[in-house]
Amino acid sequence: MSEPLAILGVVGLRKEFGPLVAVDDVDFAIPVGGSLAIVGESGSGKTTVARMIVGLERPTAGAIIACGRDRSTPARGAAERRRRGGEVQIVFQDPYSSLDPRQAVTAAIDEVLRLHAADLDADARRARVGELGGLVGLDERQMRARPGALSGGQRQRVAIARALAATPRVIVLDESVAALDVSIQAQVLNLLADVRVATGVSFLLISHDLAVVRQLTEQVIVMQRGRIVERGATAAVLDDPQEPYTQLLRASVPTAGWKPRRRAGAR
Amino acid sequence: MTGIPGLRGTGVVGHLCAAVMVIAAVVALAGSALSPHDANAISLSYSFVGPGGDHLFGFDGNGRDILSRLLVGARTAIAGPSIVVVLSMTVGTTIAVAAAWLGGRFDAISAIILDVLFAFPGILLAVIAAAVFGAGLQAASIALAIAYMPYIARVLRGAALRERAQQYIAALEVQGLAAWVICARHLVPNMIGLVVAQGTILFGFAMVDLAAISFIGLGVQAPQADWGVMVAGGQTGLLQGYPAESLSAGLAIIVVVIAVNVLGERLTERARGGTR
Repeated sequence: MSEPLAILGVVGLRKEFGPLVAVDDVDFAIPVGGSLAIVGESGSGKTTVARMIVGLERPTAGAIIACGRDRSTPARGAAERRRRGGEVQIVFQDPYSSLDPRQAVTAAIDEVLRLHAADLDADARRARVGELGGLVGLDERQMRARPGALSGGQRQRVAIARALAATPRVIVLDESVAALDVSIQAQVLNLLADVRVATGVSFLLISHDLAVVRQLTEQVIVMQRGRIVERGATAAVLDDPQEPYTQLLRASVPTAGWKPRRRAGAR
Repeated sequence: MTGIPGLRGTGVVGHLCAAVMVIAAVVALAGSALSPHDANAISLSYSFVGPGGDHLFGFDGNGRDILSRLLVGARTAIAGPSIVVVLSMTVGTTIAVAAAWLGGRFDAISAIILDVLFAFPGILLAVIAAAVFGAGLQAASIALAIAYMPYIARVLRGAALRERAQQYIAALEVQGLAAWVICARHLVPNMIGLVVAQGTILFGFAMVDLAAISFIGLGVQAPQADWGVMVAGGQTGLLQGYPAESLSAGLAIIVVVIAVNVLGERLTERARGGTR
């Protein structure tokens, strides 16, 4: 793969927690406008990769380049911190702890706009907050509410709107729909697909749910114990997995008529 | 149940306690205006004379009006603990939040310093402060603030760590907000329930300790009216069968401390089991 126009790329990424190697020699690149999924079971290191990309963990080795700029070391100074925030955003898994319980939705989004769109005056910010609310499908009453008054799906919409307020080029979706029940999950997935069309943002999707991966991304990498074991176009990898581990992941997905079998046999 | 927003969930008792505190605060601010007589006017012919006329509580051994001295004495009795609370809460919260946020070396070093401070009882520090800076309310209050700060810092560090682990804090970091802005605007406001609760309980402790320090003569100095000074000054009357001065001042301390502690406990309970 050679894409000079990668919006986000990592090279030789490694993370050690004491003696444990959580992420080992991970490489990938997301082309401008493209989306990539990282799949793997719990403990495969996929969330650690996400946390390093947004700067919540510091890599032990390797480089992370977003929008042509390295971000593998901590930001120096307010301007760089703000610029990084405007490049890559994240939506977390747990919609119940990802919003400040004391802050109404409009205030939360307005706070981001003050930081990332400092040229907007109060009226323009109010208009932009309304626009973002409309984009993620929140009505005016919900926009005035505090998180405690909103359901999990609504909160996740708020988290998406807050991420979008920074006008990022990439949004990391760290199991962002995993905590929602299935019908809400479908709504949020449709919303994310629409957002992508409307804004041209790239997604880095961290998931263990292969159906979600198929809906949102073109490229996929499969991680096991910190290493990439398979990669390729999403449809090809999911339809015709080459690695035994990927085959196992796929065989574990319940479908119509699916009967649980002993995993020991499948291994 | 309806109620004052800040007291929601503390029940009738909580509201009663708050009312006692408000009355104490009003008396502390306006005590000298409310007092019917000059609190320091001595007339030995009235020594230990009982209640009568507009002297509702009678006179102390020096013939001073006890009610007036109670009202005037509220000022130092309330001001001292207030200084302790403001100082130790400010410093304690700052250290707790910094330790939780920075972690690592700062957390370890601050823990050691707090452990050393834990070893000094408040009264001992107050005695040392009186020896070095001279007796008085200020030195005693500052000494107590230093002695209590580690307790506050330790309790709040735990709360700050819990809050720090919330994903909304991580989301704000990714947005690019400065750490101190996140702490000031989000982290501390979300633990304010516990901060207020701890401060309230601390107020009660500080009030008793400062009264004790005044009692042993290292806090507020006689003849200035102060509840602790009055408890001490009433000793001679106690021995002669005139307990009014010590009892009334002691009762005033007890009522305020109980009100403050009960309210503090209820606020803590609410903060711990708070709905998110």
